[in-house]
Amino acid sequence: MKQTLLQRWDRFFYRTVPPHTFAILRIGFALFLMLYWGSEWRDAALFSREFGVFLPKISTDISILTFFLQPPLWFVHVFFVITFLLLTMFLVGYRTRTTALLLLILSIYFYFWNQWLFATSFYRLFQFSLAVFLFPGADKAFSMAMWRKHGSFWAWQPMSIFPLRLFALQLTATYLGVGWQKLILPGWDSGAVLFHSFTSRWGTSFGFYLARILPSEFLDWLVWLTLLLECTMPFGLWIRKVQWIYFLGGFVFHTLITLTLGIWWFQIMVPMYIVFLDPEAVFQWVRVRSKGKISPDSSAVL
Amino acid sequence: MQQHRFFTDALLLSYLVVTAAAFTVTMTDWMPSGFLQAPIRYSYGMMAPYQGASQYNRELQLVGYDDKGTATPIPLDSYFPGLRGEKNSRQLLDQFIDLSIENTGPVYRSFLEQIRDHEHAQGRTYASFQLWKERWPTDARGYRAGRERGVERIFLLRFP
Repeated sequence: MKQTLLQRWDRFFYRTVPPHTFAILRIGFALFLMLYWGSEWRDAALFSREFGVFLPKISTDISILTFFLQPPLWFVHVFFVITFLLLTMFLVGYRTRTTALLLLILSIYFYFWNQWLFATSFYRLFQFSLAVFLFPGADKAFSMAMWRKHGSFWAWQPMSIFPLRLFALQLTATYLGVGWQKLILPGWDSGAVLFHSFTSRWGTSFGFYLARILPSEFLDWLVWLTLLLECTMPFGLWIRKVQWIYFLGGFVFHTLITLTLGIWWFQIMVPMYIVFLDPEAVFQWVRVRSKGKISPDSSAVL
Repeated sequence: MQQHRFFTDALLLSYLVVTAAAFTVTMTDWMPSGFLQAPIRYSYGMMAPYQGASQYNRELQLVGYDDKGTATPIPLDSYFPGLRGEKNSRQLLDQFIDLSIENTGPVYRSFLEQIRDHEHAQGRTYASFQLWKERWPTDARGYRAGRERGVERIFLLRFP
């Protein structure tokens, strides 16, 4: 029977699916955020009033604001301890939506305290992701929540596909903007843009090495390949027959950015590609590998 | 249930509108005014990273002078977190996109007040400071190698 547009819309955005995709994303995202906040914690002293430099985004004439926006070192460590406690709760799926909300609030606070001077796309993507985790489903598999409710870590309950679609749409939009903007940005018509990037403030030793040894014709070719990948990525990620090529291409692309420019934060986008797979297929894949621990029916414990 | 569905549909449509507008901004530089500007700007930030490729590298140079006028270069990197790119981005006030070079004075004054206090706490006291912005051509031999081919200096501030 032919589906109406409204039925297609409903099925695309709201159909009920197994939660394992969202749960895997929760675990991966929590581990990645631990890596990110761990790297920030390493510089804790520089976020403190004793050792750092502050240029507040909002006025600090009020003394309580001064305390929070130019905090002492002991408070910086308290902030990171709380963040890691919340991340651990988020990782194991204990009060997941509450911890996502608290982590989102902390990340907004950190933005006004210090991160705004380095306001980047990746930080916004982190915040957006935390906001999507406010929707239910991420702790409906592989979680303390299921263990408390059903007595098993392997128990699961179905969820709406809605948050997975939001992730997929945002990844699509990010690649659409990043890729297509390069078609009009000056400099992206030759390999010189890569040479200047590899030898910029972001350049790693490997980036400088590549700038020394790679001929300009190869850099030209690399720019065309980058444009081809980024401009078709927003569509290729959705097409089942070719999406694995884009998963691999995205992995290589982001890994090269990490190796040549040290901009490693966007690496989180690679595990996020899981949202482009059918949740039912991910469920089947996980179930087969669970050696019978995961029931084909929701909330049934084997 | 109906109410919940109405809420998610409204949220989804708002998200799609804001994202579409942000894509338009990405491609045309046209930014609408009004209450939607903040979410559109935020969404734009998620889809337009890294546009900073340039043929020049830039850096701040800070020099402290003691009572006798002896100049001592003060390395700024030790006051900023992250790797070189992040430290550099913070020092050059990349986020103050609305500030022209003439208007960076008050911001850098606050910046230098704090560095003066930190240096003093570590036993290094200076009577005054001078701050420059420098730029030099990029070079595959190394980050600073291009300085051999010439450094342009822009004087920013004398403090106090």
